[in-house]
This record gives sequence, C-alpha cells and structure tokens, in this order.
Amino acid sequence: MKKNLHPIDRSIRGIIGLLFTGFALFNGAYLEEPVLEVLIGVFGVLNLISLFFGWCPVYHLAGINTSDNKK
Amino acid sequence: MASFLELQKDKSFRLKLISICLILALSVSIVYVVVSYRLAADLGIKTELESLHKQAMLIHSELIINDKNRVAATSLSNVTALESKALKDKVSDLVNRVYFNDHSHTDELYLKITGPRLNLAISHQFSPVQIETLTTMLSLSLENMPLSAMQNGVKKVGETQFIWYIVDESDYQVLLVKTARSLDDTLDFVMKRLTITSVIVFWLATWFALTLSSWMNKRVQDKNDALAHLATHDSLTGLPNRLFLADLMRLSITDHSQSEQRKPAKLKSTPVKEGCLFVIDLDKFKEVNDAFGHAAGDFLLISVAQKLNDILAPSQTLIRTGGDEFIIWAPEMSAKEAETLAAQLVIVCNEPITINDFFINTGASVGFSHYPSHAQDAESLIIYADMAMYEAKQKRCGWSMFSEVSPNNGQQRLKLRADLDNALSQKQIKLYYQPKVMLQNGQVIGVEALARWYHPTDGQLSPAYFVDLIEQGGRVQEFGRYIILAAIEQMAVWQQQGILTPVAINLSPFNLLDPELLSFTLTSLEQHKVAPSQLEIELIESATSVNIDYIASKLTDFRNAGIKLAIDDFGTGMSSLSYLSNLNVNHIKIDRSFIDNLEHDPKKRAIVSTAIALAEPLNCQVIAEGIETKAQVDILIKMGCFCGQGYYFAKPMDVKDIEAVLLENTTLPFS
Repeated sequence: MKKNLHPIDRSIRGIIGLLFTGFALFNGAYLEEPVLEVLIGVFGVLNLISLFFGWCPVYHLAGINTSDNKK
Repeated sequence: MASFLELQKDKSFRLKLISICLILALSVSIVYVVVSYRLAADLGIKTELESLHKQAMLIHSELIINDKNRVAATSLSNVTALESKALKDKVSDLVNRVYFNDHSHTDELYLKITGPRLNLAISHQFSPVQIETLTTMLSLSLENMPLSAMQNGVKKVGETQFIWYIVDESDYQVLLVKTARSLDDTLDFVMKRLTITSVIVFWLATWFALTLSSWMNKRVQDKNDALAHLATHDSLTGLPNRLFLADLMRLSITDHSQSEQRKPAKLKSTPVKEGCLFVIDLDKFKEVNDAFGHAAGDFLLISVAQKLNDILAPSQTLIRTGGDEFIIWAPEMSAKEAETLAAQLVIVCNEPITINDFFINTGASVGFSHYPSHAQDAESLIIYADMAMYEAKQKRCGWSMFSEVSPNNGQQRLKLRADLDNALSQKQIKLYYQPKVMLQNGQVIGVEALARWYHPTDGQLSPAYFVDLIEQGGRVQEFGRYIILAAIEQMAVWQQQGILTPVAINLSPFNLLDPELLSFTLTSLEQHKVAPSQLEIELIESATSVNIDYIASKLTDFRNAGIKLAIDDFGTGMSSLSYLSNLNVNHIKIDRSFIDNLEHDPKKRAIVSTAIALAEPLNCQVIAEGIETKAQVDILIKMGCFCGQGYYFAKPMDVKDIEAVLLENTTLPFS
C-alpha cells in the first residue's frame, strides 16, 4: 500500500477519526439511533485506517496524492 | 497555427466536476433537513393538539357529570357559594393530579372555565401580559372562525408558541392553553440526528464526487492525450512532428516567464543555454520509393528513425518533419560536440538496410546550426540548419555546420526577404545592360537587361541574392511585370534619343504562368509606342516541373505578337532540346560553361559546333555567352558563331554608360 497522504492530511483524518469513533462508541443515549451510530462508526474507523497507513482508499481510486514524495 | 497545447490537461474540468457534485450534495442535504424538520414539527403539533383536545374534554366532562349529579338533588338556580367553592377545589385538584404530578410536569398552563356555576382561571408560569395578549388574540380569531363547538390552534406570543383548545358545550366553556413542545423537541432531534446524517450524506457525496470526477476526467484526458499524440506525432514512425517541434522550441529557447503559462505535461523542457538543431535529409529516399514501392519506403523511414533514435541521448529529440527529412534538437550541446554527433548520424544513416533481400544504403546529408551563436529563434535555426544540410548535400560531404561567412548568409537572406516589399514598391531594383555584339566587327546588336537591387544599406546586389527569394516569396509574376515594364520604359526613352537597339529580358517559366502577362506586355508596348520586335524574351530554365507544352504555347503567343524569343543558358537545362523542337526561337544563347576554356578543350568545341550546326536549319542565331578572351572570339568566328557577349567586350553597365555606347555607336571592345 503506497502512502498517498500528506502528514497534515493524515493528522486531520486522525483527529476526525478519533472524534467520530469515540462519539459512536460513547455517546450513550444521546443519539438513540443505531443506524447513525453505525455510520459514524464506519466513518471514524475509515479515518483511523487512513491515520495508521497514511493511505486513503478514495484518494487511491480518484488518483489524488497529497504526499510529498510523489516520485 | 493552432497549438496542440489546447489539448493539454484542463485542470479546471475536474475542479468543476467536484464542485458540481459537492453543491448538489449540499443542496440535497439542506432540502432533506428542511423537509424533515417541517414534517416532524407538523406531526408533533398534530399529536399535541389531539392530546390537548382529550384533556379539555376531560375537564369539561367532569363539570357536566358534576352538574348532572347535582340536578338530582337541588335545582340549578340555587347555587351556593359553598357549592361553587367545592366545585372549584375539585377542578383544581383534577388539574393538579393531571398536570403537576410526579411523573409529568407541565411548564406553562392556562385554564379558564366559564359556566353558570363556575368561573375559574388557573395559570401556571404565565405572566399577566401573556394571558392578556393571548385572550385578545383568541377572541379576535374566534370571531373570524366559523361557529363550531371545538376550536383550536397554534399562537405565537413573543418567542414561545402556544397551542390552545376551546370546548364550548352544555353551558360550560373550557379554554386550555399550553406551550407547544414539539417544535423544540423537533429542533433537538434535528440537531442530533439530521445534522449528523447530513454530515454522513455529505461525506458520501464527496467520496462519490471525487471518484466520479476522477473517472470522468480520466476518460476525457485519455481521449485528449490520444488526440494530442495524433496531432503532434507522425503516424508512420511514431516520432514527434513539426507541431511538436514548434512547441518544444518555444519552450526551450523562449524566456521562462512566457513558457510557464501553459506548459504541456509531456514536454519536460526548460530553457537552455545553448543547443544544436540538426536537419537530416535522406539522399536516396525517393529512389528507394520509386524502385521498391511505398511500403519499402515506409520501412526504410521506420528503420532509419529507429537507428537514429538509438544513438540519441534521452534529452535529445528526434522529429520527423515530413517526407524523408528529420530534425534533431539537442539541448545543451556545443558546436564542437555537435560535429561529433553529426558525423555519427551520417555513419548511422549509411548503414545498409535490408529491403526485399537487397542491401540498401540510403545515405544522408546532415546540417546543423547552433543556438544562440547562429540564431536566437527557432525558425532561423531551422532555416540555417536546412541551408547547411543543402550545402552538405551539394558538396556530398555528409554533414556541414551552418557558416555565417557563406555567400548565402542566412541572416542576410532573412533581412532581404523582409526588404523585398520595399524593393518593388520603391523601385530599388534597376536594370543594368550588357551589350551583345557582332563578333567580327564589335558592333552592338542588342542589349541584355539584368536586374540589380540598389539596396539602401547593403549596396548593389546581383540577382543571385534575390531571385530565389522572389520565387519563394510567391512574387515571381509581380517581379516579371516589373522587369518588363522597366525595360519598355527605358526603350521608350531611348527611342526619343534615336536609339533603336533591341532589349532582351530574362523570364523564368514561372512568369509565363501569369495568364495576363502577354496582354500586359502588349499594352505597355503600345502605351510607350515601342514596337514588339524591339523586345526579346530570354527564357531561363529554372524549373523543370512546369509543363513544357503550356510554356511552349505561351511563348508561341509572344512570338506571334512579334516579340522575339531566345533560349538562355543553352545546353545546361534539362529540356533545352525540347524547347528547341517545340518553339520557333530567334536566338540560342550557348551557356558560358561551354565557352570557358573553349580554346583548350576539344570536347567543348565539339559541343559548341554541334549547337551551331543545330541552329542553322532551325533558322536561329547562335549567341555565345561569357566570352572573355580574344582567342575565344576567333575560334567562335571560325566555327560559324557570329554573335556573342561577355566581359571581353563589355561588362553589364548602368543606363548612363550604355547610353553613351549606344549613342556614339561605339564598337566593342573598347580599345
């Protein structure tokens, strides 16, 4: 898996990922809507994947690369 | 020229696609949130009103039941204060039990009962102003409403929305007002769920937008790349073409700021400090094509292109400009290095290639020019390299570097080409005259008009400098008319001075393609009252491609009009004999190359005497050109040629000098 994220991009995704995953797991009875909780969870986990691997599947499909070492 | 850059990557296309997708997603999200919010709010209000209805009915029923029980005991009319108080307490108790119990707590409540035995108003957390406003508003809307027992609605006082219900039956009217909680609740749900849903929808839409845009963009870009490749590459060899070269050169040798604007992705060139441009022309391509067919020719081109490409460095670009001509642009190469490469190119092109089991070596001529010492712009570089290539081809020396000291100096040619406009319009081109004489007695029998360009800065220039410029510039016909008119005007002047010497002018077959030339000539002759027989046309054979039958018919027209004809440079052209057999010419002018060294070369003497013998039955006079010695004159007379011209008699001279010669009837050479 080739990295395609810039460190800034990666850290923003990390923060978003942590926030959303945390919210999905620990919002208690705030949402009262399982579908939403699952969606938020997926969104957060995908962002966390981007954080860990420095690689975004959508960027990969779309051919976008924000990392510095393009060549 | 349309630039293929237009086909290059359009980044805005992708950006537009993404923006459109995002805007669409955003609009969908907004519409979806608003509609959901309104739907939920309406549903909530409806439910609340229904519940309020039940509550009002409950209180109302309690009053009615209480009255019925009482009817059994006493008459309605005697209502004691005690009874009224008991009823009030009962209702208050009911309200407390329903609204203010431990399970549910109502924030704001206003209850008003009007009836024969009870007038009660209970207000909880309502300010008197709010009650006042509400009752006024209600009484107003009640008047407008159709009379019906159940009346209800929603009223907004200040920031708060209230729902109200009136039950008006069986003497009692019960008004119940409460705060509408649904809107706040809805807003709360919207905040919690819809917003998060919208964020997720937006995220999905962004994902979709990125993927879709990159997919569409890739498709469009692929097509564009294919088109750009087609436009800038030769289909046979797959090499870049002239269009590509133009862009490559523009980026390589123009300054950086200009080229930065739209830089094609594939051209990775940066401005260079120096470089060499090579023009390669295969010597025997046409022969291969003719002898072995076009397929073989194509194969040859592909093989040569392949071999040339193999010896080039990656930074150097091989371009096929058409036919059998290739160009190589080698950036950051000095003239010294270029010489090595040129020699290498010649060797590579000389390697035999197998076509139909034959070993063919086509050979090539290579010329190159150096940037920036020879020229600063691409066009000149190509022209100079081209000139060097022609030089190499003529000298058969393989390769040649453009040289500024060569007579066909490129820079001067470019300048002259630009100056040509002025030359014709300002009559800078004037005629010089060289006498043609009888060899025996030196008497002048005619003059040949020769063009000289009095260039304002470069001085006097011979036709060698400008005739091909005129031909390349497509001004042959204009120039032909210019010369004819100048000669006729001069003849008219001389006629008044009593000089009736015929004047010969040189025309190329291209001039005869001018369909109006004859009528122009005749009109000019008539205007200046000069007899057509005074004018003689010497046909120079500069091009063999012009149809000889057509030229012959044109010349016949001239001859029929009385104008004399001569074949110039006889013996050198490809179709001199053809002309001779087709035309009734008055003079044959034997080329100077046969006269030069005539006295020592028996072969030349044989040719000249054959020409003289040939002319005799055709009834035309032979004139020898380029006579330089007395010995040549003597030999020519002995052979039977009685006319001639050359430096031995007189050089071409300007109008004044020739006038003097003609007026005084001088015999030549001057003694």
